[in-house]
Amino acid sequence: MPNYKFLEGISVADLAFEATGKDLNALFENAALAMLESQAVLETISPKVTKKVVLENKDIGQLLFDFLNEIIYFKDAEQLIFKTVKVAITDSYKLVAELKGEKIDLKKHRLGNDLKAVTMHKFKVEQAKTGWKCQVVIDI
Amino acid sequence: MSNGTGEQVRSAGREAAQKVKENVYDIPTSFKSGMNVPGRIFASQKLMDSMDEQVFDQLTNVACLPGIVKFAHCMPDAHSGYGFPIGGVAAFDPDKNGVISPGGVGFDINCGMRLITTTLAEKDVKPKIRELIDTLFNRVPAGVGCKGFLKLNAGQFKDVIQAGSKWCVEQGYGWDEDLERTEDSGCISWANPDKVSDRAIQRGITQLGTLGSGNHYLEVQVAQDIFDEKIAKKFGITSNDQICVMVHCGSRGFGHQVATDYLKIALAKMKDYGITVRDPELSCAPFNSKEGQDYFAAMACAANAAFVNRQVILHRIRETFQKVFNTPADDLGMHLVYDVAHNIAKVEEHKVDGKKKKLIVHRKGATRCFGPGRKELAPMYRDIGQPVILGGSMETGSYLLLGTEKALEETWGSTAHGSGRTMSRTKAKHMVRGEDLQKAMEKKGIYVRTVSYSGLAEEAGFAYKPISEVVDVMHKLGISKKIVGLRPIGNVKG
Repeated sequence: MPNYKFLEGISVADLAFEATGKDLNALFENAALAMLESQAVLETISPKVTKKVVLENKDIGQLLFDFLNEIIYFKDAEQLIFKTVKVAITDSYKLVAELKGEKIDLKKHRLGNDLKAVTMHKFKVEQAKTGWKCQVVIDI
Repeated sequence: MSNGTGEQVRSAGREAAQKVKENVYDIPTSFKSGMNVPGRIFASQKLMDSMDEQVFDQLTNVACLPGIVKFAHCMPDAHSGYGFPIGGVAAFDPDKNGVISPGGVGFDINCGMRLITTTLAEKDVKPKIRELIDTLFNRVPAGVGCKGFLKLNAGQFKDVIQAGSKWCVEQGYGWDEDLERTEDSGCISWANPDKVSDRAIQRGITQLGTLGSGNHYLEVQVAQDIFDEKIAKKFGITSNDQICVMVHCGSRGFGHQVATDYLKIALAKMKDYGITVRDPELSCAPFNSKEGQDYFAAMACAANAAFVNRQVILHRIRETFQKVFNTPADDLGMHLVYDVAHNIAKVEEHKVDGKKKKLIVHRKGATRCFGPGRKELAPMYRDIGQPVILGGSMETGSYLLLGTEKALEETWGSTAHGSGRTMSRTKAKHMVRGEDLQKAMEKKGIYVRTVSYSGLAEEAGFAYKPISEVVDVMHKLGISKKIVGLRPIGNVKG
């Protein structure tokens, strides 16, 4: 079972989801997967290209906001969509992530939404009973 | 807002809305602390009832922003967005610490509509609709991360976002007359490419001439109801089986990144200006501040990119019709009626308490609808008022309207922008499969192509308000007049 779910009643025209994780690494990975799944059916993507992302921000919310924006950036600037994501965050809130996927191919990929932006609308990152939880609305 | 059982709980904002007259409701400043002006909603009872509850809270949050003048307005097609409601119009006085807000424009800067006429009749096009839509589908890229045919380097892209549509005409991607038939002649003069990030340019550089996705589309339509023959004729529509083409899209990844960049800047700098807002998406800066001016100049670049995007698409539409009907585009009468922006902020002169005043007007999911006499309009429309284009859902049809003087008095010269969603994307997708919807639409005489079947399902007609109800509210109030109703027969869905 994926550790994210799409939410109704948060946003009428856009895409809202909640993700959870036992730690920050898992939280970031699951939030990223929610976005990746909404832009294409993951089974149709092959992990041919690897992209590394390095970010730093003392505010954990801002770090997640910036990280999720990277997925949108690669989609527009390099026409890359991803299948897998691995995140490692240090205690000083430095993030190193590895995304694997390939160039968009209309014949091969079953595509979904073209994600425009991560919004700050009802954006939340918080500690939950067991680990971490976030709520994100993506403009589409 | 839900009470946990799935039922909608009526929000306090909705309860506070008082009917002023038919189709007009006000939420008084006493409703929420910090409201500088009342909220004003234009809607029929039916549209009020179908508005989602968050609209009322978002509208009254806008009413709290510094320097807001008269009302926070809400159009009849409104639904909740983030920060501002979609369908929100607000004007700010720069002399009274009035602000500019990236969230008040939205991520898709200068998302807008374009309508093109032809001399073809429905009977000429129906037999070729598959070939026509299939060719348009191939010539106007749509969907996730789609690329256009223009190959530009960063320097050339900067020239494009400064020059706007006239760059297209110079390159042969348009006719001279297209320029005066575009809001701001397709070029906002205060655009400054130095104010946009490299990241924004990288996101947008390959995307000119593409539709994107979501609710964006290119539609082949038939004029079906002509409400005002004289004005319709001035707009180029003379018979009720005439084929037109409508385009809905915006500034693509470039504009989205400009908005994201300045949302972050405004959020970080607001406290320096002593501004607090009720929602981070309402982050703003005084118009007369460095950040306010920088955003205004960057937003103009994105607006110009959107004009170019739609102009390049028009070029491809003309090429396609030329090929499919084996007739030159000018012989097919493929004139642009108008190009309107519905996500934008502008400095405009309006009357406030009888005196002329320069205001920063934000239209987020709202369309400018200037009446006669405004200097911003090209000579061909200055005596009658501007054409206003409202796009409906894929299944229900669209409208061509006329701007009025009354709009200048009531809404800073603004009207609705479409039909407005009532149902979330997730829910719409649960209710219908894209493949089934495509077949059902074809049975109804609408041939649709898409790169995303899940995206198609999200845009099903039942997810939207009835557009005729939206149009009628503004018509009855005299804000925008019904001129022509248009019915879809073919659609390229973004």
